[in-house]
Amino acid sequence: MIKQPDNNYEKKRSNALKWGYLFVLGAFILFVIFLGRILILQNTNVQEFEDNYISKNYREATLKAARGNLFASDGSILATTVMRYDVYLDFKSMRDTIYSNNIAALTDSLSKMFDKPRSYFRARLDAQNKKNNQYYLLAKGLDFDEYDRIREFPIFKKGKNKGGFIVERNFRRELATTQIGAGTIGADNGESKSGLEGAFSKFLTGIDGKRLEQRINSSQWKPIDYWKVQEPVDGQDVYTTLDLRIQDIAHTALENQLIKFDADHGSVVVMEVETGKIRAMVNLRRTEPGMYVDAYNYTVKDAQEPGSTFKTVSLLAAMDDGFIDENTKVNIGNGIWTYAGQKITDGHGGGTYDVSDVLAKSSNVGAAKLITEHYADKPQVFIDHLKRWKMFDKMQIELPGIAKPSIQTPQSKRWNKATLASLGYGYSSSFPLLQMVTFYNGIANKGKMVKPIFIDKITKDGKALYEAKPEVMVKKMASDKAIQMMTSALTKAVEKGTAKSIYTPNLKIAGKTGTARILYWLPGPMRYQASFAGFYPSDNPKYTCFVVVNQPDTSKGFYGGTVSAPVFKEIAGKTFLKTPLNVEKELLVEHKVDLSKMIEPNVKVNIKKDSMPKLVGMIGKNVIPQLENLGYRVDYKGVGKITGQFPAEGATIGKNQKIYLNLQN
Amino acid sequence: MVMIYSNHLVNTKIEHVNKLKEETEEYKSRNAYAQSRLIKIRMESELGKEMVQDSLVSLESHPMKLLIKADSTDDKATR
Repeated sequence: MIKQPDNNYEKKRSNALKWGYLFVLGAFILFVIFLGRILILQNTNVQEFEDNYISKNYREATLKAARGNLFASDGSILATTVMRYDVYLDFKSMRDTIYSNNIAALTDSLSKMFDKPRSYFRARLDAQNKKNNQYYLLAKGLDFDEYDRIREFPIFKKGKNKGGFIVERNFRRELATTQIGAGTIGADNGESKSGLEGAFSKFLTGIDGKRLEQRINSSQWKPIDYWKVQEPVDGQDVYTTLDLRIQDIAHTALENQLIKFDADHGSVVVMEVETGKIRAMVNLRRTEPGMYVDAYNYTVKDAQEPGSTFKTVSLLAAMDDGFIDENTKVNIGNGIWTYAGQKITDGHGGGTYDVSDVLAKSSNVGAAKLITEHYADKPQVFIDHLKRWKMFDKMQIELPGIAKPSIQTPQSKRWNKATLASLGYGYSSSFPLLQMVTFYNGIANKGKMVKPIFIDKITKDGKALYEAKPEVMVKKMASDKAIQMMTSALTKAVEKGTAKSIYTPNLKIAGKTGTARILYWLPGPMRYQASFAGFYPSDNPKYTCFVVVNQPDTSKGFYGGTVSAPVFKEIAGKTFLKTPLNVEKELLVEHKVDLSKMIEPNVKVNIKKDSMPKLVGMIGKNVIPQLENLGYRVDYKGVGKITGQFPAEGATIGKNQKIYLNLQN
Repeated sequence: MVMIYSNHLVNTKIEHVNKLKEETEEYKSRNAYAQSRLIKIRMESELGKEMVQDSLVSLESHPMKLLIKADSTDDKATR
């Protein structure tokens, strides 16, 4: 029997197909609507959509690259980026009970921290609390220690939600030490660049990165499209050539002397002889009496007439040409000489000097006579020496803004016969201090003039990308004989000449004083610039140093030997202070060495006409042995500085009288 | 539901990463701050000021090293 097709199956099939077609149709319609909607959305209210949705919820964030650090040569940080904290208070979220129960304790803590009365804080906080201020600035620019302390204060330790304690973190570029101050380190704020920061900005600045971010809540964003992230490249670390210890010594020595002589400003540069690395550079300017700040780089940016320190340059030219040597004599006369209508004077008596005396006694007449005698007919020969020593060239150094030197030449309009004479003793020319240091360093380096350098190395992630090497500017400045002669003459200047006040048997120093009259065209009192240039130890020079003190109080002193040379001595002495001096036993036994001279006390106690001197403030260990050596009996209590004395200052004291001293501790 | 949950997990992680980043920056800054303070207090001029309060004075003259030449004929001699 043949089975009939199942009508029920057919019915179900057609029904299913119908629903299937309907579903597909529905899906198709939805798809068309979806497409249509996309097309509409893409073409209508685009700007409004971008403003209201995309720009509020998406952003291209800048990933800030960290600026590299600036280091001293020993790895000490000079300038770095540190976080500073601004503290705000939200009184709305601060609970009333917490506020009323703890406000007394809080104002007490704030008063101790900021050294202001409690009532000061109480009045302000109560007023802001009454106003329900949600963003009251309490303190700005706190360092980490201060922030760490303040966040533990009553109320604040409850946090943001209960204590209303809001902290904003800011990054700030800061100097690690005032010893190398703002003037030397400088700044790079994008608009203006100065100092080391500006000079090395191309290394220190990194490259900012970028990434797309989507908002996830009111204050946080999440990165999207990870494959499109442009990572930031951090800046490189720059190691300068500055030696923090020498810098500290130079800063302290110069600052004390500027205060003592109430000078307008002063500078010190210390350069390593062999490499030309600048180990210290200090520039201090008076802001108010007794207050000096490092705000302007005089060493580099100012060109000044060098005065007598230039005699080293002019006489080296004559020595190199063989015009003068150790047998040359020059008659100074009575210390006054008129040449081509110009009166040249020495500040001291005349007589017949040899070349080393001209330098040692800093004779203007001697220098002028020697230079004019040999170069008056051919001044260009003298000028050519200066050209060969690069003294006409603006120095090519890593720091920006170096001043251009200026020298009168026979081609200059202002040149006359007397110009050569004034050039010989340091006028009619001006140089930045750094240029003069470089010249003296050349003599110390046995005639090889090297370029001053400020970068020791540049590193990235601990790897050295660049390491400085000495760069020779002039291979041979003068003959060996001339260099030797000049070194001996400069050593004599310290042993017996204008700088004999700084002579010490413990360290051989070669140097030249300079006392230049400046701003002489201005009315009013005479103004001077005292300087001292030299190198040490003179038998095997390691460092060249130049000290300049501008406009010292003339009633207190203005000569290079009294104002600037002591700064040099302190720097030179302290640089090698930790190096022991070798004393051979045989020399001691045979009395060829006098230890008492080598260990000279810094302060000498003199009792004149049986009058008791002032001992208060002196160090006991320096004073007591001296008094005992003078034959007095001393009774003392404590250690350290002398705080009390009997007999008092000015009282008469007999030889057998006992001196009572009270010391600090 | 799975998508919403995974999205929530991602957001939590991002918040955590941001917090850690902030902490890293703060620690870096604290390190720099500590280093700069260390430099300040180890300066000889600063130490000198502290020493005066304890009745100590800075080194004023070089230490001396006494050299005794060894006699080549005397083996026991020391330098």
